[in-house]
Amino acid sequence: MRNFVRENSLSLFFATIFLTTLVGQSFAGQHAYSAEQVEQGGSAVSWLTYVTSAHYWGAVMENWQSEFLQFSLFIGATIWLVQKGSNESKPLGDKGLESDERQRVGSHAGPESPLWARGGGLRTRLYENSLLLTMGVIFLATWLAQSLNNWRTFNQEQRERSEAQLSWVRYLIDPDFWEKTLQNWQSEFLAVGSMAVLTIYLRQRGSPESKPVGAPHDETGSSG
Amino acid sequence: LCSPKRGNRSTVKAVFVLYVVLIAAGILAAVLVALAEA
Repeated sequence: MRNFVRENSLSLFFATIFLTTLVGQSFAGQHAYSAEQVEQGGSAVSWLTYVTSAHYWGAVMENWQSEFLQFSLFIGATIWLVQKGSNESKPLGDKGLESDERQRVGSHAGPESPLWARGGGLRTRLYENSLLLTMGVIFLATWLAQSLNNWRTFNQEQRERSEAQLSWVRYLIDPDFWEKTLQNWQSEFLAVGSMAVLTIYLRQRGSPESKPVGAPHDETGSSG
Repeated sequence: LCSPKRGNRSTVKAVFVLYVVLIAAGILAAVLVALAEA
């Protein structure tokens, strides 16, 4: 057990704070939503009602989709785009998909290489893009889930105001959906761009997200 | 000879599965809630 925690402390730490904050969001959201309902002449909702509401899951999925979009774009963009001096970038001369030898695929695979990296062909093509494909699919699924939940919430608010309901397809071009989407995207794009740029001049000793403290400012991708 | 390596792989496999389950459960819950609010 101690070995398990030692080998997986990073992912266990993030899983723990993820679940803690998800529960925290549900309680804070329940109180905020209830206060809003009471203010509008309605009644407070229970925690169980709130965690099974479109309001809660719309808020959760809004943030999930933008995080998975951020990482999908980061994975994809860093194949071809570089930033001199950044720890988040490959060296300037390594732009592109790189050679089979460097990537250890097909005949260059070793005995410990994953099975799908060895054979070549369609399975290897699929496996060599599996991270971006998976993150991209999760982004699309969470964005879809966000749209469905935001749509339900939007229509519920329309009902309360005795205004017209929208179809899901119509909601997809409504400013309400795009305001909720873009407010999350813009912050992710700034954060990724900041990581790419700030790691040129700033350091964090001991973190693989930083270049070594004594690395020159124009050294690119030195912690790999 | 292989057992320590196999042991390491199974511990990382456990966290991989944990994250896949967390993500899938979240998306599934969100979609089901939206569909149930019909």
